[in-house]
Amino acid sequence: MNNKLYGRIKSIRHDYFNTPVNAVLSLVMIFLLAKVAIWFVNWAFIHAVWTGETSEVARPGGATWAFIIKKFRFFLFGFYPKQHIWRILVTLVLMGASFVPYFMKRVSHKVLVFVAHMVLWPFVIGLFLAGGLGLEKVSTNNWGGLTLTFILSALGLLYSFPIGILLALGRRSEQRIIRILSTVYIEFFRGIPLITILFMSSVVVPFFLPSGVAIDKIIRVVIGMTFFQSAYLAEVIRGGLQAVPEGQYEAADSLGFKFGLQQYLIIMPQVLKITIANIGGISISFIKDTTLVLIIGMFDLLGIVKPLASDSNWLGMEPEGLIFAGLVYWVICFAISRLTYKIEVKVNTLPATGVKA
Amino acid sequence: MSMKATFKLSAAALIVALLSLAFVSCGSGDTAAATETAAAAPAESKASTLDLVKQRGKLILGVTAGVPGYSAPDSEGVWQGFDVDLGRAVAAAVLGDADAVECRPLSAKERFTALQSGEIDLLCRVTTWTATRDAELGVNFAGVNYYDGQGFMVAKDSGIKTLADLDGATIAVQAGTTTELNLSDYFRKNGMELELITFEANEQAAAALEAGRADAVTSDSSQLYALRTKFKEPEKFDLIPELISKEPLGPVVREGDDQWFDIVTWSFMTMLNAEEYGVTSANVDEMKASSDNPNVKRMLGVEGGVWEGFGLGSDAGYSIIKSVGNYGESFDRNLGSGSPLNIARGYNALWTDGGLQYGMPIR
Repeated sequence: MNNKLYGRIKSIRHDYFNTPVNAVLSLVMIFLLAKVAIWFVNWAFIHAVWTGETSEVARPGGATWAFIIKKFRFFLFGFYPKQHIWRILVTLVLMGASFVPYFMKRVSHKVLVFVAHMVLWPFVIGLFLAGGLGLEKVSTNNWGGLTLTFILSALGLLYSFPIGILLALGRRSEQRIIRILSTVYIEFFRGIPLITILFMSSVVVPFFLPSGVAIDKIIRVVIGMTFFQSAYLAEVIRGGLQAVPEGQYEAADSLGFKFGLQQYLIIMPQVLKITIANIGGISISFIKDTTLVLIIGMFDLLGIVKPLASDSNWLGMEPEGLIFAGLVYWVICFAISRLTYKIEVKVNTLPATGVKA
Repeated sequence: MSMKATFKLSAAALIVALLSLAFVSCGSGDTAAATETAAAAPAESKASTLDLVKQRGKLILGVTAGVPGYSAPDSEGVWQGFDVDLGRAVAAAVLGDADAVECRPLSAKERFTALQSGEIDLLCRVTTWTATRDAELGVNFAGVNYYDGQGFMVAKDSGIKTLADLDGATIAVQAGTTTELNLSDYFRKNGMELELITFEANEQAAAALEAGRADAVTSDSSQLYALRTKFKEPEKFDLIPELISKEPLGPVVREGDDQWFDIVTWSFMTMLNAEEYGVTSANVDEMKASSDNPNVKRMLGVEGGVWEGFGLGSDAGYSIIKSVGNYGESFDRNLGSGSPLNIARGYNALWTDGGLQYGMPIR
């Protein structure tokens, strides 16, 4: 024990205090870090205010978490009518429950589960959140907060996967036209900023829709973001495709597999396994990219801070709101990061082809 | 199931998924369909906005994404504010229900497109009336509900009372804005000495005043009032009454629908006239029953048939005052002494009190 401690001290001395200059630098850094940490703890906890009805309760040098507590509902659900919030919860539970089949051994073709998601999620969201079949309609204008972030991310990621895979295969296709079309699509959407796509979908598209056709802003945005994300996914998957040895294709050919089955059973499982870390990475950045919808007047978790802090009773609460939103984003992204890591560890222990022995 | 079938199924599912997206768009329903009719309106069918709003049963109002006092969600998440009140007045006049308003928050870039494409019926979004906007954007400004402009905030005990007192003063301003340009132009034009300190953000400029580093901070006056609320001792600071630039903010409608333009204009005029004649939401019933003033009688629909001429019910004016109140009430509640902003009426006082707000006669 003592030896261990001694070793630790020795290595600290060796690493950070080996020369006078380093020692001074280390001390200065420790001092600054401690100063910031003390200031933050004072601000966030010791001088913080947890209860109150208006910003008058705020204390100098302390955070006013009462603002977050009072506005908590809006951070989670946006301006969705209070009496209908159960519908958001039902939607989330149903969407969560739809992941169960992935963990069931009996379900051998998980692709079908994915396909079911693509079909059912919009129905569930459309039915419960937007309303219909007897449920009172709630304008998508009222959707916001974490709910909106979740819906945009979930739908965007869901649809960009199949499109991304098709594009990646298309870009490697032997048929010239398919190859050119895929390449043009990918390069086009990778070449323009997401903000441009969002502006197009919110400002320009309504002018070009034929009369009698209306597409809700949220759908236009989801479609735009899907186009964007699928182009990035396509490139990640193409990278994975290139990493699969030629021998795998030849082996599949010699066993008489046609293209579709060859991809489904032999190539794609390997590709997805190779690219899992990258897919996790771009998924995280996609979730953070959804915050850009605030520039087209949609209030996701980040965007809702401004209107909430514009309440005359709670002026000047932007810092608390932004820190809270940042914290939630960090939790979400860190969770996904850990999840991808877990999956990585898990798939590495499975047979590469995904076919059950 | 064979693998091939699986593949065909996935392809089919993609198509179904796209269709179901379309279903969601239908799921969001009436408003979407109605919006579309409106989108076609200015160019094609000339459908009247009035009919559309009546048919839909609510007014869709374009607002800011949150500006204190003008439009911001309250503790229940309902949009409130000075601009929202004007929309509520129009809804009261047209539908008899001030609550039949759906606020659609818009970014500054989207606002005119949303109006042109028919996504909203009326835009009340702290929008400055300028010639270029009127000429090029296919919109009309239906009045000025707030005369804003570049002003100066000073400490009350500084002795600075007028613009002339600012000669030689140290003035804090946000860098790289038209505000900064206006400031130096004004001082040069009037041969005054200027000591300028610039900041990245308005908040920092205001902090310089609070800390005593600057004698004054300049920005749009409505901004300055909002900044003042964040001071530790807001009561020690005030604005010089004069402004050095013109930022008339007002409601905006689509071009080519004169009836709707008139309705918005006169809903606003009614609020102004009501204040002038002392009609408030509290005494409107009494006034309607017993007032001898012919102006009030016409405004409240007791006689004259003014409102029918706009295609509205005779009680449109009464509805506005009953549910929203007059201009002064709305101002006090959202911006003035009844709010944390505590904005002085200044140029927004009635013409009878020396201000610029002048309600055209209702007759």
